[in-house]
Amino acid sequence: MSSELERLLRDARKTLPEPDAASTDRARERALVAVRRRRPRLRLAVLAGAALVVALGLGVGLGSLIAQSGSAARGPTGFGFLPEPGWFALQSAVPANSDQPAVAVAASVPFAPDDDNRGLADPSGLPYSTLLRLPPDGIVIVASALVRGEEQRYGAPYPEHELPLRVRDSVPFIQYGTQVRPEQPLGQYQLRSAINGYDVDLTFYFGTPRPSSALLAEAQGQLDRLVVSAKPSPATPAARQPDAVATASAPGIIDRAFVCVPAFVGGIQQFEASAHKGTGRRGSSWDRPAFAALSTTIAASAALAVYNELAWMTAGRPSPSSNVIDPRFPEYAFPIRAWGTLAVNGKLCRSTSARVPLGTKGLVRREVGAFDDRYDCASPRVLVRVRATLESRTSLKTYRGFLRTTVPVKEASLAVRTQTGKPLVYAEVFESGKARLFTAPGCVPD
Amino acid sequence: MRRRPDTELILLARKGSTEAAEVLFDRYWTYAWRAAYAVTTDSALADDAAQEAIEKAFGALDRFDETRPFGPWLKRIAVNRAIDHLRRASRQAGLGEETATLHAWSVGEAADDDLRQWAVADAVAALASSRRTVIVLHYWLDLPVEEIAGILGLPVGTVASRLSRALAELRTALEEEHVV
Repeated sequence: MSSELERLLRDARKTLPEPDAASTDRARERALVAVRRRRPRLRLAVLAGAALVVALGLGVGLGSLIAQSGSAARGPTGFGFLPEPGWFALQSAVPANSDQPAVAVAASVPFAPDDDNRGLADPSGLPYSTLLRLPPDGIVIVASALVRGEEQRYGAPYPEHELPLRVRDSVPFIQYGTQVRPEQPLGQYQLRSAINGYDVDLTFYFGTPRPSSALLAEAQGQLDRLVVSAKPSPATPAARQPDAVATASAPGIIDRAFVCVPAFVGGIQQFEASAHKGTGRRGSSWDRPAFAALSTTIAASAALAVYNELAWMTAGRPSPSSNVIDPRFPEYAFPIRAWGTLAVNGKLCRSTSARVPLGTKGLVRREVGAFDDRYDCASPRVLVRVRATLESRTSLKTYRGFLRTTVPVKEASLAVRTQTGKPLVYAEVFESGKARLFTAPGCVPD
Repeated sequence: MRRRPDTELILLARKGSTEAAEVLFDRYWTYAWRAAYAVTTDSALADDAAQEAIEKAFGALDRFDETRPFGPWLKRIAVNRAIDHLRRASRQAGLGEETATLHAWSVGEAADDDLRQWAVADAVAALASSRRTVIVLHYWLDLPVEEIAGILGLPVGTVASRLSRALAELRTALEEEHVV
């Protein structure tokens, strides 16, 4: 028994992750510098002196090379960049609200044609083609602003700041754990601030992993010209207003976004969206509360079936016999009271700061009955947002590989988009037992 | 192409060959980082610890006894650094809402095996840090009890009893999940 456990333990070391490219590059440089430092001091001093001279020369050169011919987008209306001489700026066509961010992008190099839609930024904010060819001395700043809603004040990591912001307050940041350009890494830094009633996300992309002080100063010059208008009109709640019963108490709200990876099924990455309405009401609880879920197929074993769920949400109080998955075998039940009224698979999903609007635009309404109605949607990585109003304040805690809460949910919604912003799924559940499901037309009934 | 032995690479690196140093780096960096990650369960701490370890090791190649294996020496430095970082971090801050995981974030073809290993890794991650550290050092980094005692500054008996208790706790947790 002990040797079996010990064998399993030794096997489990295979699951350890590997260092990312940025860390590897940094370590390589430190290793090589350490080896070079072992050379005679005099030679080192000469090299350092020469490097200083070159660096100074480059700094002066960079300053004088900044062109004065940068084209500017239309002036920012509420949120955007006034371009520095030699810089280029884009901004989104619509102002921010609490659901849809406004986006502004500034670059020290001309935008690639793919990214410049007549002066308007892509709604995702990521000028991907420009970043792929960003030269070592190039800088791109991506800013997005979301009107601060009530739900975002619960410990959201947006400290209050005043303009101008400072580049030096930013921190290294790799979104979704990936480099935009792994073979030639960019320096990626993030700065979050609450300004004038907006939650503002700024991401700085430098053409080199370790930007020089000259590059940082250049970025600061453009950052000084970020405009965030005075206080916006009151926030529009991102989701439906709670009903009268809910507003009588002080509900907790969870509003999180994740990037999730569906498993390969038949050669394509796909997930299932499903929902059923609440049935079996017993007083204040439900045997099968209203439910919506996203699942994929990674485990065939009934004992591990719950790990096929990317995310689920319920509404209404679950009874002790309520299960996440209708159990095929009694010993492999996954009670909602233990596994969560709202949960996200921590093995297949990771937190992201990406904005995922909640809404049904572009989606088709599907029938939702007492049994799971399932739809297959194909997509590689997907952005998933869950937003729930709960009976009391809570947060998602780790439980057996899931991030979950066991606090009963009053109402919840879930939205899925591709990484390029295409809507795939929207679902809602209510403590009244009602559930609604919308999917992209391309999602097919299972 | 012939795989050049570590000793040859170390001798060349001592003479200033950055090419040899790079080959040596590529051979051992992931190994050092994973050792640091196993101890810290935190990517940022592992980055710091492993980078410091690799810098220290490469800067001290002159003092390294090339008749001994390079990997275990580097691993020992990485583990020491990781434990330093872990102690510093635990003094500075409490736990966040999301506890660390010890496994990578991808599903291979043998998904059931992956999930079983994840379950074990999760159970290890859920141990108290004093127990987790001895389990990780012994079963994942293959360090003998005596060496773990030296690294942690504990009596050998204490390390052995922590190992024993940690194994018992793991067994209970994994039996509950039908993993063992």
